[in-house]
Amino acid sequence: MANNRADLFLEISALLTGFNKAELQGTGMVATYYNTVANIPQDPNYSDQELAANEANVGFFFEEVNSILKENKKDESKLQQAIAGRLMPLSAYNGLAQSIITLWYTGSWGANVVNAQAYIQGLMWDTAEAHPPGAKQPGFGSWSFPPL
Amino acid sequence: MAGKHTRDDGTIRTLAELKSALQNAIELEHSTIPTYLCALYSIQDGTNQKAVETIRSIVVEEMLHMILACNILNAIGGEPAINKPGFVPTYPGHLPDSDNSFVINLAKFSRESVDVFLKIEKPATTSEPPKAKGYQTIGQFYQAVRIGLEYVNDNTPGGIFTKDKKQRAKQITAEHYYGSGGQIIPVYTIDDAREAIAEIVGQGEGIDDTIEDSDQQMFGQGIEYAHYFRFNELHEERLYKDTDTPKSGPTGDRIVVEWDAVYNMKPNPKMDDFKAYPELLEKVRDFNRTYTLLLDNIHNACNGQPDLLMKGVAMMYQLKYKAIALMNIPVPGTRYMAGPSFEFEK
Repeated sequence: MANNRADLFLEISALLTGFNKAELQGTGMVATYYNTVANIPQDPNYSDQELAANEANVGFFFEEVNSILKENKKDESKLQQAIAGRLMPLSAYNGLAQSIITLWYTGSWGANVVNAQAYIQGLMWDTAEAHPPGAKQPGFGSWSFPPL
Repeated sequence: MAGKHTRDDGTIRTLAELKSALQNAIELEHSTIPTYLCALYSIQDGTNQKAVETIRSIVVEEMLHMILACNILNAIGGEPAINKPGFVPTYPGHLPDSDNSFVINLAKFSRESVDVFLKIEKPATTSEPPKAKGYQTIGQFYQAVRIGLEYVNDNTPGGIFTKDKKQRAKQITAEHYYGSGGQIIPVYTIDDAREAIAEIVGQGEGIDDTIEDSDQQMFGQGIEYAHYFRFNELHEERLYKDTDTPKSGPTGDRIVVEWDAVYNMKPNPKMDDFKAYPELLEKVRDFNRTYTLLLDNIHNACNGQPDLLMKGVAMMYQLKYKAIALMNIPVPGTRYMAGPSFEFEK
């Protein structure tokens, strides 16, 4: 079982996105996204109180993830229920779980794309069997062939 | 499969031996591609621009050589066999039917890999006799193939180059092949075959004791150094100047090779290595399925459906993205990342 925050992040990301851990690791974005979620934002517009509140929120979120994973180790449907009930509501941990889903699918955190790779590696492209315009070229004429 | 008809002395005297040697040529060209691709895809995005450019430009020329070998085999009434398990080399391994003097691997970009690449592309010296079996350099191998082609053609009434319309339509032409260095050469005559072989050998190891490849002399393309010398620039971390010779080595500007900006790919991975990790295994298997589909595609393209090659390009892009994804996945309990295993998987 995952015991540090980075491992917890990968575990819960897989459960939240529906992509397995190997698939998420394959994007090369795990460390970047973990830092995006867990680190205190380096934004001068945040007040000290806001930064402290954010840090506390993230801490509580990972504690909750840890207990959800522990309590429901053996029961997949209970695990899903716990995630839906305790993490998914917008009121839970400032909607962090939903933000993590958006992060993986779109590469965006809040209104900003995390970086160029995040845009390219967004899960939405694979989900739609499309490709990010301007990157990961599929080859001339590929649109006329059925998916592999 | 390799070398079934090849004589022990490495000469070629019959049509069957010639066809077998050309099948070996296809396998030989192909065997270098996974080894170069692993190095290429292990380089982290945005780093090592010179190395990326070098390996990429060489690997697309190896693909061209593979198709040129198919064209020659088709021209003499053969059937390139690409989509069967024995076609895919086992890594670590040797160049098919070579003297086994060095080992080729599926491995990340490193000084050791570049050392191997230099051995693959090593120019033939005049003291080495042409040999289609037990050769030391690829130049020696193709020299034997060329002599064999001429010998069998001269000693066969009417020659060995097919006049059959359907067989001639199997040639891959510029219409089906785009976007690589050098030039695709459809082969209908002994002269075309000689030109195709000159192209393969000229791009690989250069001609006439220069560091340049043959494309400028043959096709009026800009000067490009032959594979051996392009790899040697990485090895020496220094560029060649136009006035350099094979003996002088590169004496131009220093280049920076970031040997560490590379995914630490597990050398010579196999699907079997990942049995304990079903998610990872599935990713490796998925890569291999796409690779096998691509081999099917090239096989069919070279056996009468040349238009299919275009579709292969889309598969090659897929393979690239799948390979890079694997290099981002740590192999649990090791310091390695996963990587493409290039195994035949239906």
